Amino acid sequence: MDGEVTPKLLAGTAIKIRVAAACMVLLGLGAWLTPPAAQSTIAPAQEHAAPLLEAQVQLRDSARPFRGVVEAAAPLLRYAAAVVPPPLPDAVNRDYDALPRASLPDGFAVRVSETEWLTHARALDGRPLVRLRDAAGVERDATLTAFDRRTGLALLQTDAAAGTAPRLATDLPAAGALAVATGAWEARDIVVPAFVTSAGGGRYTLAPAAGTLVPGMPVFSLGGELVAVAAGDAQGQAFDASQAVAGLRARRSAGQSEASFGMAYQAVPASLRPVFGEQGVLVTHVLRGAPADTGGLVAGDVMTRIGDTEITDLPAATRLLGEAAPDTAVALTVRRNGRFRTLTVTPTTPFAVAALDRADDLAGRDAHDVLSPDQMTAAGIPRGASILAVNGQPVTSRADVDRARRRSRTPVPVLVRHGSTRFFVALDASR
Amino acid sequence: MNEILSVGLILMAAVVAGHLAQLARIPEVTGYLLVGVVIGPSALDFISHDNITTLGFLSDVALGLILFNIGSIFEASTFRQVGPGVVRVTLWEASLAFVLVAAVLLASGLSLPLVLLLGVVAMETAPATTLMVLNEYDAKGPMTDRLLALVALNNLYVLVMFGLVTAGLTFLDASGAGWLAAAYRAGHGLIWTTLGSVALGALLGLVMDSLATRAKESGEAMILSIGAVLIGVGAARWLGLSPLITTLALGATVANASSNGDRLLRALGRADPPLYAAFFVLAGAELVPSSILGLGLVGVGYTVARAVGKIAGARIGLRDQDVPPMVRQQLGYCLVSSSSLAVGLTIQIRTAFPAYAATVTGIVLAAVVIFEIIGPLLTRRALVATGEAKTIPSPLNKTSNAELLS
Repeated sequence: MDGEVTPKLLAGTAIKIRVAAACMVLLGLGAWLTPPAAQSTIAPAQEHAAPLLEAQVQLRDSARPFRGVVEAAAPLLRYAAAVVPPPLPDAVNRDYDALPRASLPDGFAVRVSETEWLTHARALDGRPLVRLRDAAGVERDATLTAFDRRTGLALLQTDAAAGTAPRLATDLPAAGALAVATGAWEARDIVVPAFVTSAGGGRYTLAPAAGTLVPGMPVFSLGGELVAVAAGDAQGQAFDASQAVAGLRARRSAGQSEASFGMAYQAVPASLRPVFGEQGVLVTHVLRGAPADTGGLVAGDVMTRIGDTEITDLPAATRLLGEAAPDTAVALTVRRNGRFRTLTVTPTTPFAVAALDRADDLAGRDAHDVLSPDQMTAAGIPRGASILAVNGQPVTSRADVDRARRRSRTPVPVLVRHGSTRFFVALDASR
Repeated sequence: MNEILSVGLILMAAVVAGHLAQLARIPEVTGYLLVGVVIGPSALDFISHDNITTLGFLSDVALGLILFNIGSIFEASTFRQVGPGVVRVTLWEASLAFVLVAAVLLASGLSLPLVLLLGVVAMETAPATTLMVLNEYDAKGPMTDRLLALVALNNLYVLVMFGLVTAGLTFLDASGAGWLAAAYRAGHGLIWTTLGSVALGALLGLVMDSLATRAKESGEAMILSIGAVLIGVGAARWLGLSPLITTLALGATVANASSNGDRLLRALGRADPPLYAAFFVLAGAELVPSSILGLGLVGVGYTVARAVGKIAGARIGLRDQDVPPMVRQQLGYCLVSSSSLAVGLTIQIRTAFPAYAATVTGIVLAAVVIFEIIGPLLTRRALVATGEAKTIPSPLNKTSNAELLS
């Protein structure tokens, strides 16, 4: 090129050496200061240690993790069908959450016999009639025939018989094992390798190694046997498939005649009667979007009356609430902050409630971060529990707890979460 | 189909696509993308998902080379001429895209964390697509000078913002680990990714420059360039850094270290065509056009808001700058393309925030299909409108062939 050559910014050996040295120092310092990786919650079973170590090595190559698992899972894709929004009349649709869910696959179902499909209520989004599209692109209408409110799993029936079902697992994976969930949607094959972090009682907790578990996704062992169906929730829950199928076939009840409010409640603990009163039951959890939420109930309300009938104890509350019918409004009288109010709540079916998102709206703090061991023992708070609220207020630090105790002359109600259960305990104000 | 056959098919398809693109008077990159859609899993399935996964390294290499090329824009004397103005335009176009997308998504009822994540992804402009179109039309002029620097700065800005947003959300999500540990982890991640990547790229660039004096032959220079880029991408992944920032810094360092930089870039240019072609055909194969059908109102709002933000933001940023009015009018259209970085960020979001995975994937991937197709077309139109397209490939026709033969 003609003309004067412009001097380069890094021209000169000395400056290059200085810049290179600075870069090396920066890289070394950054690597040295890198915090350790978060503790894994996986407790590997001894016999699964070797595959786990190899899987952890694969995880470092985040571009292509678990390639072998994904390849091996390819034949399993044919057992799952995507739940697609069907062109159904509005009368049978129950819309709890519109867009953007409507633009995404609602979930999956897995074939368990020629005409039966197993899925989770969340995949059906509260609809008893859906359309399934299998890996070959064939669409079938499917009707809900049985539902288990404990697990949320549902059995669907299709008219046309087609395809074979996978083997149901007999040798169940233990904690630490690797499983794989599959599904085909549009032009995409979805394979999610997942670690089993806990197993027992027909229930699994899965930690996806890559990707996301969608409601109704079948979970297979690495031997290709159907183990469980995923609930598709943030906790990574999945439920044993063989237990579910047997149970659902026995029930053959859609649960359409039962009513559900989407809330949990407990008897008022003796220690909290000075706060909540002697009578009624204490609401501990209201599911977001559920009938109780829509009706205005919140955790901490004390239900004292259903309709014209007083609630004397917990069994009475369960019996009275169980007598409600879906889509029939019920008047609930609650006491909140010392005042009574009557709320109108229209329950729905347990199936529809099971379809709701169960993500907790309260983050909470680990109990041992905000309470001393003595306080935890005195209040009966188990290890591993989280404190969601103290005296109705969210908790951010130990200071919040101390402040609440100082200001109260009665025992302080503490809302605790342990696993998937919430309950109130009393914290002594005098300590 | 085995991978070797796949690569051969991809390259052949690229040749056909290039010619067809010329006939249709559309950018070659659009042709590559469309042929990728045709031979990919969405249509003929000659290239399966497994092939795409296995051949992902080709995309990584090509992207690294593209960003190395773009990084050379940061040669000090060149950048000084356009730098401050370009920084201003970058801030305006990316920030306005973020704000408009966030406003639309918030109005649609999405949660704040989801809005922030999608807003950051919307800020991105595709570096590869833009560079390809500029190269194809041999573009030269004030808009072109600013465009490459804009794209480079845009990607840097997006990565820093993404780091900030994810660090903030991770920090707020932290429970049980203590706020101090969570803050440290979030802060270290952000700083390490940014500064560490720059340091790695700079170090490799200086090593490359010192070896370049010995690589006299152009073949040697090409090997050196490709080797350095591969080491940059691989080392960045290994150390948990950003391959994008590393290769940008590598290109910038080489450009600023000595005149060897120009020679290395010229040598590398000869290796570009097959890798770029493979990159874009593979990118097209990964697109799922049917996802557009599931875009929904929220996705449409995202798409429109992003495009408006980019175009209007560029115009506002160029206000009071000494550029021709046509450049001020057209520059924003060149920033509409969106692809690999947006997809990469989406993959990171899926891993870090699985609760938002489905929504983010559904919206972003569908929007990428739209922007990848219309982006190059808008860039071409802008280059023609500003007169900066020096070469418009004319379609093959029998008359010209006959003239050659006679």
